Amino acid sequence: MSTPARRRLMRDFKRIQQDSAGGVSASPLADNVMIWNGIIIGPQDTPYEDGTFRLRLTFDEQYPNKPPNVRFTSEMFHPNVYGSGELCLDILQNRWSPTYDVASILTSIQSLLNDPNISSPANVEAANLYKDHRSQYIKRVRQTVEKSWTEDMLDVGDEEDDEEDEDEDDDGSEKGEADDKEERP
Amino acid sequence: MATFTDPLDSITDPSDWGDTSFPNLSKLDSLLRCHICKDFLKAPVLTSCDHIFCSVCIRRSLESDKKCPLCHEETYESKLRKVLLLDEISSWFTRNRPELLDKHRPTANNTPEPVAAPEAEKPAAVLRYESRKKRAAEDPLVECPVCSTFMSADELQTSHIDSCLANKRARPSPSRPVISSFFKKERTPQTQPEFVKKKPKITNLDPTISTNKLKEKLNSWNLPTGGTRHQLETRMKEFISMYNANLDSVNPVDDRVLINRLMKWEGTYSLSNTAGDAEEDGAQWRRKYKAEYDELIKQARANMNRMNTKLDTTD
Repeated sequence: MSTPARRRLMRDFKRIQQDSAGGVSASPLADNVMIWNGIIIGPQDTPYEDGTFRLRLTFDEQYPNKPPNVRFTSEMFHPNVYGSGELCLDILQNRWSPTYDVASILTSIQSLLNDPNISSPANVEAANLYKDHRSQYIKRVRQTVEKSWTEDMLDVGDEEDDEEDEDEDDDGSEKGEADDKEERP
Repeated sequence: MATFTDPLDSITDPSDWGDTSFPNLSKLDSLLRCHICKDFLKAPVLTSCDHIFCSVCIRRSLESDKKCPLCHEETYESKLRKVLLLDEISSWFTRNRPELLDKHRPTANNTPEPVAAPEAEKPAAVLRYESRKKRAAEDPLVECPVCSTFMSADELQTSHIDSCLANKRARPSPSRPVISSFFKKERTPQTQPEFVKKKPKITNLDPTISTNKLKEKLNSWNLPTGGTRHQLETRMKEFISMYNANLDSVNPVDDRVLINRLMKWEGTYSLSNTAGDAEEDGAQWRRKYKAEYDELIKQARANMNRMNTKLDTTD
């Protein structure tokens, strides 16, 4: 049941598996190649540094002639990200090109993190803080970065644990480790 | 591992050359690919802004947006020019890639394999010619009832008669039968005789066309006329793209082959599921796919400081 969109998505998958760089990765669902999970690591030397931001990308049969629907599933604080996690990004709307693939979409979003477009704000509070109270803005962003680490720790159907004893190390490389409870489907 | 339609192994990528003894071939590999489908160029065409794509890919793209995918300049189907030579280069590379890849596998001590002496192995093309010559000697040659070309009975039945009947422009070949069938298989458009008439392209579908006229148009191409207005439009637009792209290729196929492909495409298009139930909120989704996300985080952290091979650079 191979359509041009599916074939292209398989190529995108192979490309991102073999050749991705710069702290992004993604893969389709096991049972549906039209829906993907993605990860963007916040770039170094930005308030988003080391954040492990999760996304969901939804494609249809018109891909690559039409862009996917992309939204963050992690909590975000950014002038161009709606509360729902949806993005306001030109390459996903009017500046879309069929030459983009999953890797380039994620890399573009990663660049957007430290380079917001204030003129079309999706999150007005974030836009205002970015403009007028930069240190406050940075603080709010760091909160989402830390939250993205503890999202790793949450168990299925669990209320949030008290994270009083959060690790303070910036490295964060330990935090991705799978914990005891594995939820493999 | 996931159960996808195409096994990942059969998908080619420029980075496949990375661990061979000639990693620079990844550049050539990448240059021969269409920027839209990322596969090797098929019936490549040149836009008015000097960019190249597969004919069918750019035609489909222009259905929705009259801009060049690479530079966003306005461009139109009527301005597309085919580049037959590039089509041949791309097909050559596609055909020979597996063997090239194989020959450049890293050896035990990582030295490139020594070049084989020319007498040691005959090039594939020569072997093919020799085997065909042998076959021709064994099969009696028959004459096509339409154009009087001589060829093996097998070839007449399998490929020649259909296209001959359809186009009625199969050229009368010189009466040296063995060579004529050699050329037929070998795709040399530079030797195509001048009097092969250029088939006109189908013009773009006028979206204000009445449904009746649309059905008439579909009918005139032997296409089915069932379904909703939207389905009819989609069918006609896709057929126009496929038909025009076919005319841009070195080896155009018969219209009936196109119709077959179109119906298959339509079948898969309507059956396939798209998003389905992706309406779960962020937190639910994160919890549901925690394992998948964890794995991706591991990968992303690992590739954080890598530079990718940056193959898709445009001018």
